[in-house]
Amino acid sequence: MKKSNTSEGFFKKNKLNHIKYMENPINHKSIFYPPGGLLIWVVILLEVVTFGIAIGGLAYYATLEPEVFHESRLKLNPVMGAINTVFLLISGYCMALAVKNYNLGNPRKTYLYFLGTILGGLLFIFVKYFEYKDKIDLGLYPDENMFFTFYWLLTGFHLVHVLVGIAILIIIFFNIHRNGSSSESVEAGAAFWHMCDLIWLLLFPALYLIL
Amino acid sequence: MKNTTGITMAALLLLTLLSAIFAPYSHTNVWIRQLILLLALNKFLLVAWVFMEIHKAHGFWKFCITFLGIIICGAIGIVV
Repeated sequence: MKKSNTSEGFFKKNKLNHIKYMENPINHKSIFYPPGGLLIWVVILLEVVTFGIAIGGLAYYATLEPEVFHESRLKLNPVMGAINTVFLLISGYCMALAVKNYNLGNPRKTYLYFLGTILGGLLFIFVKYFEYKDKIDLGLYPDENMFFTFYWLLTGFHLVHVLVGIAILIIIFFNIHRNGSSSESVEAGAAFWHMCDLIWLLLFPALYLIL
Repeated sequence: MKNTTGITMAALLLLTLLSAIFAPYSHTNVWIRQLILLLALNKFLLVAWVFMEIHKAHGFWKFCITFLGIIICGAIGIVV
């Protein structure tokens, strides 16, 4: 009975949010209101620039020690990297549909796609755990050579973002369930999550495929 | 719109599959490395434009994210 009340409240609050959203849709064409908000987009651009510089550094050092980098790269598991790419892409797809359904006032689908997004993130971490364990078992620590310094720093820093992203999504998920959440905060959480996708899409070829 | 998201997802998976197919030949052929980077740039732009809905945003944000993607992939492409 209690469950039914909660569910009813969830649907009602989301309906109200949807009505509010339809009455005052955000004008994303304004420079101050990109999807997710100004602040998150400043963060996204800074993060992409930071990772971009680090990947540029990786590519530069690869030209100084091409053999070391190639030998080290062969010790990585590109299959695990590819599986993680697929998990993040599916997760990003679920996130995009969650935002869409939230704005359309479909709470059941929003719920489902949010869970799909979080599951994709957890699967990414699960695969990453085995990848890291493999490297530790082989004694490939950050001080092994410059390639592995970059490998641990870049993938570790990215993993922290994924963990923070999952925490943000869980908080938004429970906010939606309890009080309903503003369309902008759902979009901001989604934008952060997609940023993890963007960074990984640059990291994956640079680290696992081409050097 | 939902269909666009689905088609984008299928395209992203296809591009990932193509990267995986070309990857074993990347050490011997510089063009394969450039091709893999081009595929990565396409995936980057698809996620930004469709999933992040940057197509709805002001031109400034469209320019920034597209420019960054091209610059980063271009810089790696020049070095490798």
